[in-house]
Amino acid sequence: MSDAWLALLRVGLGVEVVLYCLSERSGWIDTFSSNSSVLSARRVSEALLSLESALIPRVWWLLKPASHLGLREATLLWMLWSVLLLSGLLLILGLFCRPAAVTAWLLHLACVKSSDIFAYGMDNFVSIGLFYLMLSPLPDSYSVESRIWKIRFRDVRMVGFFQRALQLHLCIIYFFSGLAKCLGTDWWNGLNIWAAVTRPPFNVFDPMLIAKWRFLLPAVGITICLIEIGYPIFIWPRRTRSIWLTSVLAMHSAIGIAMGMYLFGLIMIILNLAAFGSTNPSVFYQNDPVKR
Amino acid sequence: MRSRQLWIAALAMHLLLVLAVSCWDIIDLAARGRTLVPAPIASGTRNIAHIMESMSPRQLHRSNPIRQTVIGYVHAAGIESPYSYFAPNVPPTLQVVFEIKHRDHHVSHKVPSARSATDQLRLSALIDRSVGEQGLWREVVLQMLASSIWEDNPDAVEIRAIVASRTFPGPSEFLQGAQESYDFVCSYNFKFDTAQFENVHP
Repeated sequence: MSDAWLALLRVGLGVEVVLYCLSERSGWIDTFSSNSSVLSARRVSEALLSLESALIPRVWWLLKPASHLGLREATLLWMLWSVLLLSGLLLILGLFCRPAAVTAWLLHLACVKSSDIFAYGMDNFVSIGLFYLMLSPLPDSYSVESRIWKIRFRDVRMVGFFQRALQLHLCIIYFFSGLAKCLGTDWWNGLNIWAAVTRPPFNVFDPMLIAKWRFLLPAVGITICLIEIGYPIFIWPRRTRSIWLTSVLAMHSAIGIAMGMYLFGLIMIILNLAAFGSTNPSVFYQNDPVKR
Repeated sequence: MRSRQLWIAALAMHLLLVLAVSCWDIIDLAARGRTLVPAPIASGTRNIAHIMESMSPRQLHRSNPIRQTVIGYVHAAGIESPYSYFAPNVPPTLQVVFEIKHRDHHVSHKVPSARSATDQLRLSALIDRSVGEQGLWREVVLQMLASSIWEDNPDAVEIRAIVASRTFPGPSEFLQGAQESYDFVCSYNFKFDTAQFENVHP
């Protein structure tokens, strides 16, 4: 039983967290400061969160106790940014994996929830990945930590269990995403592909170029529907797994490049490779733990 | 053995929540007549939507610990949102333009801008989610965007937010030279000196 998938998930999510920090750096204070504008994005988001549940992590939880130290809000926000960046770097390196994963999950979630009005799909998928990573048996055998301190693999069955959880979750995601698309009229004639790639800010390519290849649009639309709705069926058999995995990776790469959604494309590729890019985690269902 | 059963039970509960959110989304889309589902079946899904809504923890009182825990958990696990991106159809693009009246009576126009490509995606998602439907949420978001424009233009006495729906021609019409068109959706006037605003509907 290999834990390569866990190493891939750890490094991939570390990269995502680092890229999140770097991409948000220029607007970090404006987004999270409580007095940056008449209506602060954080205040609006956190007010809406309070209506949902008091248990949802938010930046205010972290700033409130720290403010007793007498530090300015901007200083605290930069400290938050630095710790989040550091946790991402530690995940990439594989040092202090468990504390880094828990910190990355909590801080990323708090930041995403406190700017929830500006959130989009990518944030959700990073939260899903970090949630599974935080619970998985870390450190994996590929991490620097386990190599330096010769840490033994503690519970091999749990490695398989969390990979299975991620696999089942992805199957539900793609099935319902595909079903919702199949129920729309314009995925069958390709008009939704046209609408998606010509609407700002996704209009990376010249519409003239796409219009010249318009006869391909219905085929692309139907292919996307089939890849997504067929995912929970064709990703499991060994014969079709590589075809489906390759198709899904190609689809997310194309979305990333053609629509400028690089971080979204990257997180979906990471989750798919971690879930189905390595061996089948059947070990959880065996009675005896497999020795390494 | 016991711990393994507990983990499996926890996973089953977790995936049940993912399924519930996803099913609710599909049923809600069908019930609102936004899918290919025929009208008689769509009306049937309305009943299912009502039943599911009545079972939602959101129906419980805000202070109820079950509601607090379930909603807190789904947010913590990142499973609170459904996965119907750009489905069943790609929604119309909404465009916001701000007409700024300055103290010296000259008028300028600005569109909400972002610092980076990622910020542009976030801004676009916010406008799509909030500005499409009439209500308090639209007013709050437009006021928030207008206030950021006001910060960059401190001499502004009034800012008018104009929301329009953008229609892009189909590929064949586009090749024949058709251009995008805009339909007025609504406009809001924000007067920052009196902190009052009035809205104008089409």
